[in-house]
Amino acid sequence: MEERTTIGLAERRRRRGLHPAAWAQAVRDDVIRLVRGRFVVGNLAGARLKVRYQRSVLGFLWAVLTPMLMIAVLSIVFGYMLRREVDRFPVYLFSGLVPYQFFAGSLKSGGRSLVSGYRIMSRFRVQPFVLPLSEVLVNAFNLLLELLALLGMLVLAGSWFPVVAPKLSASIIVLPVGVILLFIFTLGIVLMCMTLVTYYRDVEHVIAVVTRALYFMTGIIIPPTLMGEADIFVYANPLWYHLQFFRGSLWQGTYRGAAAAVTWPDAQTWIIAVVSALASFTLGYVVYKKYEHEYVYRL
Amino acid sequence: MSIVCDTYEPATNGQAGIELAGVSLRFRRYADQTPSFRQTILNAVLRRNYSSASEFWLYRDLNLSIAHGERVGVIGRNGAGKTTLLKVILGIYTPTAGRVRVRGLIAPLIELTAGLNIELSGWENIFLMGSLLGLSTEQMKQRAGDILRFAELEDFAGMPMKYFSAGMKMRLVFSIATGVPNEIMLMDEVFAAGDAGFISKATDRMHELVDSSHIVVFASHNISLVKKLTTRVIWLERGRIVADGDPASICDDYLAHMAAEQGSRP
Repeated sequence: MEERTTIGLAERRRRRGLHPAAWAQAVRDDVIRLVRGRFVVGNLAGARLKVRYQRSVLGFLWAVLTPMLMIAVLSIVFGYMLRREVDRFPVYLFSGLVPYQFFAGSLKSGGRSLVSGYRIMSRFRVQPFVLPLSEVLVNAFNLLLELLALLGMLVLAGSWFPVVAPKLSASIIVLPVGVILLFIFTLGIVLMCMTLVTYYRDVEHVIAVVTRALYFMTGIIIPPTLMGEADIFVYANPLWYHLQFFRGSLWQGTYRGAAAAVTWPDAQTWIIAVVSALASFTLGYVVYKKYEHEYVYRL
Repeated sequence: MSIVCDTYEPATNGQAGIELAGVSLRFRRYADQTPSFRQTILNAVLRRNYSSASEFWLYRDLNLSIAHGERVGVIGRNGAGKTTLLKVILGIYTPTAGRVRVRGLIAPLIELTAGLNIELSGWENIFLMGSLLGLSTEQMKQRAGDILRFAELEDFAGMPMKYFSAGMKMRLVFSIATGVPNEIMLMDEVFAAGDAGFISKATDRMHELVDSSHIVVFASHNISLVKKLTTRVIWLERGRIVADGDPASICDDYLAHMAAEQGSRP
């Protein structure tokens, strides 16, 4: 039998001030509760995926087919325009667009996760955290499926047409690192957006516009090298450095013929990606902890 | 900014208990609008202050202590704060001020259909609901068969719940909620539905649970059922405890009060 003491909001507010020990305990408590309640996350994310794909004939294939078709369209439109400037344009496009869509999709569904999870939040004793987390996990699942599809295509194309098509190089091993960093970065941003959307519903529209702007600020279609002075917008965007891990292993890191050209993300990319991921998650978590007990009153 | 953690400690004496000390709860009413950024900016620019006008205190300095073995009925008219009291005990609403201490594992029977995902099958919903109630997949695997059998839905387990009738949904939810282990039972109205056979079966199970739980808190408008099930009754009126004690006399007072009010209406 366990004894739980819930402390009122007034007392929580009174005890402000930076106490590392209190934060350490909070993190420990949250991790323990999350591990105990991991089934909620699994079931919520699983439910999402099942509902999305179960009842269509092609099922999970759609998760891969839609972005593929989208990329086919963009490749046809822009690939011809940029054929001299960007080597293997479809690969460039895919390796940026897929992680970007993970980020944008997570922000959209994770941002409103508490609002749409109102029925759960107001009837069951669950950590609010599990709702955004399961939304981001659903998007991460899609990301992994799409990456697998791309890898499969690269390998097939590489072995069938060794002269024209690229082959994978050793730099593929930074891809999982890129996925993990992007996941942490995204989760932090989602926690902040979720708080904003819960308190001010119309921020959702602002977020949609900002994510759209980020699309152009991450060089999805036009690489910053072709942007002239406007490239500052891309280089000032932390998301660009996260996408570089994907481009590094899938686009730059691939090679034609026999010439092995293994390229690794440079020091700047590493530093900005790691620091922005940690900063984003820390800030997101602090914001979350501040409002953790008040979300339910705002739904 | 620092934070204060809720504490979780093993209870030493094995006695379940609920204690509300100086609990106040403030709600914001959004009468005709959802909170918006636009509104906040406008209020700031025009120096309007709407926020305090739309707040109201449901409980002010509420003290309540429920001991091991008590079966408590909570009565009062709609909006008196009965369901919210259960949700405060459950830990959904953190009080604005005060402390809530709960010893024991809680099984909530409050508007549980909210946890269902009607796109999923009955079988999948058993696991979803189970996890929301704090059980692991392994624990639910052991119970899923019994739950379906009790709900008499074995033949429909694989069907998406959107094709279930209202009665079938209720039966499944009832079976899940009453099929998980508990020490403290929080009940909000009796939600048994279905044919006469199921109702009598559900009522039996409800009585069994009331007998086996260490503590029962039962919010209801069904005064005769409250009288029958409980050993103590709390009468709430706008978040205040009007009376607390012997079920028979308080229930009679409450009924008399309601009747008098009814009579005084033109």
